[in-house]
Amino acid sequence: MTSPRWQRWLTVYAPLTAFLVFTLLPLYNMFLTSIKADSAVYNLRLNPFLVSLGALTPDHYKLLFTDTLFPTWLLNSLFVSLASTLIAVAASLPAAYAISRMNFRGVKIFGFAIFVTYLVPYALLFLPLTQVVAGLRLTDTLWSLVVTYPTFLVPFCTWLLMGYFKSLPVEIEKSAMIDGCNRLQSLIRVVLPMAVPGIVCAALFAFSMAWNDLLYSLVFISPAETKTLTVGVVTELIRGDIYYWGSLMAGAFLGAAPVIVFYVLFMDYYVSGMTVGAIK
Amino acid sequence: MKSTPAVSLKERIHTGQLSGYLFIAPALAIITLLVAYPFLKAILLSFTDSTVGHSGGFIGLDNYARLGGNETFRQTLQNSVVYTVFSVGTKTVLGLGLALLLNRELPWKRLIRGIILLPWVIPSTLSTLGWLWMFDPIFSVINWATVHLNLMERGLPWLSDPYLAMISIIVVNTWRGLPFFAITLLAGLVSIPPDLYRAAKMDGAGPIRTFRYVTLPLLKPLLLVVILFSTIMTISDFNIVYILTKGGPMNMTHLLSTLSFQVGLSGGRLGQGAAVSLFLFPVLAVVVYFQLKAIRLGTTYD
Amino acid sequence: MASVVLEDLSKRFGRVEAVSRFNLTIEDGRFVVLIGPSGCGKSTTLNMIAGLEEVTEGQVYVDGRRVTHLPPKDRDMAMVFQNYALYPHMSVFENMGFGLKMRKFSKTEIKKRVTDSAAILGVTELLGRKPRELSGGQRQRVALGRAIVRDPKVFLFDEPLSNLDASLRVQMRAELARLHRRLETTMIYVTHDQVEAMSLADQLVLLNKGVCQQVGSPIQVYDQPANVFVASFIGSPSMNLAPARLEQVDGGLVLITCGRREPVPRQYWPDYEAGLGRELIFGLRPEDLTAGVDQTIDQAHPMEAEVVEDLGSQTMLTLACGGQSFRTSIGPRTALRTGDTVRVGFNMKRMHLFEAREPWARLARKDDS
Repeated sequence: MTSPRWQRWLTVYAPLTAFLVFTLLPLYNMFLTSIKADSAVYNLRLNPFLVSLGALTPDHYKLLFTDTLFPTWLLNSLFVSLASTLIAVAASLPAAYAISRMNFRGVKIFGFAIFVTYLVPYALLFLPLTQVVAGLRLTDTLWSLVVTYPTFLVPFCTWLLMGYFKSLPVEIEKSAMIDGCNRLQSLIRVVLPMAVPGIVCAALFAFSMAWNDLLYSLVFISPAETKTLTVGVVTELIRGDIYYWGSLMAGAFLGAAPVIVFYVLFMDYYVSGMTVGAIK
Repeated sequence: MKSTPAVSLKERIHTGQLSGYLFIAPALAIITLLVAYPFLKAILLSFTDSTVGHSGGFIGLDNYARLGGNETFRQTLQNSVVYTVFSVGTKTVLGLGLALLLNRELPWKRLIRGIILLPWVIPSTLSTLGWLWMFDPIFSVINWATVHLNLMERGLPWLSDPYLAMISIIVVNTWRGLPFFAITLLAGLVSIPPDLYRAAKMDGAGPIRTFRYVTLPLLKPLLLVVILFSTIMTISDFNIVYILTKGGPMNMTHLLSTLSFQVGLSGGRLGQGAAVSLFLFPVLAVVVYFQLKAIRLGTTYD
Repeated sequence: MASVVLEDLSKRFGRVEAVSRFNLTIEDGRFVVLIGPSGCGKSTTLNMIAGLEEVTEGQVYVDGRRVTHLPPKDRDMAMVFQNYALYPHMSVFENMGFGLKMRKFSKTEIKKRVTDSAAILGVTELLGRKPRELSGGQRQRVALGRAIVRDPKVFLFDEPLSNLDASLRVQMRAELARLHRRLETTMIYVTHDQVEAMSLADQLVLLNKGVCQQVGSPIQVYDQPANVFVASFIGSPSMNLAPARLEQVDGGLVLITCGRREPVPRQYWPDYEAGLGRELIFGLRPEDLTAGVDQTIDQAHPMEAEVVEDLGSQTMLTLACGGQSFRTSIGPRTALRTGDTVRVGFNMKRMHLFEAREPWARLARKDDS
């Protein structure tokens, strides 16, 4: 039974609008600040939710590219995220396949181990990892991140892909094996093409997680040119006690851009990734 | 009687015995070298008085004993509990509400869903910067709005007052984590057979009682899983606190992860830092244990 | 127990009219079956009666009281769903008692009613179990029990047996009939299976594309189908149909169809005279043809057997009938093979004639009841 118009407004549209405003407010504010001239930003008398055409400026964005190492950080993050995502997916894929499809001694224990690892927060590992990284002489290089990011990427990707494989019908692999494939061939020729959505999903999430990392980059890297985008924006755009808010927001916005682009293009993958994992 | 021939290597690969191990080898290597080994090292470290540049000697449970008496540490533990309980709680309630809203017939559903997911998708480090700006002591838009709407006389010191700071980080955590709850619970709602709602209508249950007796019990397994994951992620959160308050004011927003960072790296006391971060593990283990038990006892669909 | 009256009931989804000005009077205690192909509007109608679907136009009355816009819970009706719709997280007892609990019955009253109904349906030992532990047939019984327990004025059934396998269906049909005799409550039943419809119904209602085609007892509908749709929908295998026309010969009527000339029985001449010169459709049920290989069949013409299926108890023949295919059956274990010629006679006393244009109505006869 459809309820009267006003009732629907009260119980559905009003709360929904509230949620949407809550969601968008910080982002809107962030964006607006990044294109507003400093004089408008720091003027308490002006309405901060609006900007007059005269106060628009691309200066903050320009500053990022002329005065800071922002482009370098961007490339660093790109490199690290892509490389670690590649490694993580390459390692997780066969592991997830093995756990969900194969039966051999220890596979159940391995599956449980993956789950437990997922629970070990990376905030716990970073201290001893500094020593591991130092031992490998990777401190202050981007490779330190490429090597350590898989610690949280692999468990997550494995678990995501496991859930995904479980939803694929077994009959297809059985028929491939009857047709003459061994396990590896059936994985490559038959399962992989079907699993592409799951792989894309895992890759997207892995990339986002790598891109987002702050702790490991803070811990393992100090030279400014080697920093990743997240660390760079957070630490270098604050000189002394002065926050360059305009550029800070521009940096934050631009830094989020690649991920947002992926998101808009692949939105359905994000949604299915969240739900496949939890519903299993 | 002829003895059975030994299984050849080729046969082993074919039957998946060997290839299984090959398949899990890369992941296993990563986990062993980069998770298990450091984890054990962390435990060992916590029993020493190592500092940066000086690997110290074994001091037994001294670090832990010292932590027990440490005011800051006790405060941090309390913060962690408050932060996790209230964040997860708020996310659960709001997430459920949002999921119920999104389950209705709505125009622009795809767009709305896309917007709702944004906080989850955007790297938290960067969006938290946006919140830092929102909470700025002088230029906060929240304060500007409340003052201009005559709801308050002066703005609130979001990040410098201990209690407000905790509220602030909870708000940011909720903002970031809400999409996960909403979208996952929405998927759960969608999977409830619609005939059950018709049957409930015939049985005389109104919307509230239908929710209580039909929807909620059927969502319970999923709800528990989501709460479990969220608890794990919230308790070990680092980014939000580090960017907004660095643990202050007066250590009132320190979490185990940020304290461990401060002690172990900024302070250079590796052994103690390790001990702090290791506290996360038993706490998590307990939480996970109870939640897994609840999940296993939960109902499944037909 | 109650009478149900539908008055000009209509349902529109946007521009699509799912149910069109449906009028029906159901007397107290009757078992009425709504039958038709998918999409004919039978489920929509049932949902409107239940209150689960909003009525676009028209009224629904129960026992003289207008219930058209009342919510389901105030109509004192119970429904049995195709997919049982049992609450998976509740035990059988709780499932059956849920409607009573919502209506604030006391615990003792609930217990009494549930155990009584469980006994009637033979599910007493299942009371503590959860739905996923039950077989399909058991679940259906529990769904029935949930409806009985409420002691409603009207029972509504939405294709309840479609998900059961064939033998269970037969069993449950008998149980439903028994239940109706015992409870004597008005039952409105929706199905697309005409065997169920024919065996259970006191009153059969045929629907097609939202429009009511015919209302009558099963035998009425079988023997005097109102139009071509009803004629071909009811009866399995379905009625044989072929284009035809009438000719006047020597003061009498002859039917030209299937490449043969069949004399029309004399008692029908006055009724069918008006059909001269019009395009008609001839109908004859498979059991009203006689086929055989010897010469003894009355008025027999030879026809080619296109398909011969020996089913064990009988042999189904599909015969080439001047461009049409007619079906009939004869005894089993014939030596007939595809392509053989068979002698076929039409029992014209059981013939039907229909208009060959909208609304494809059947030409009425004086001997119709």
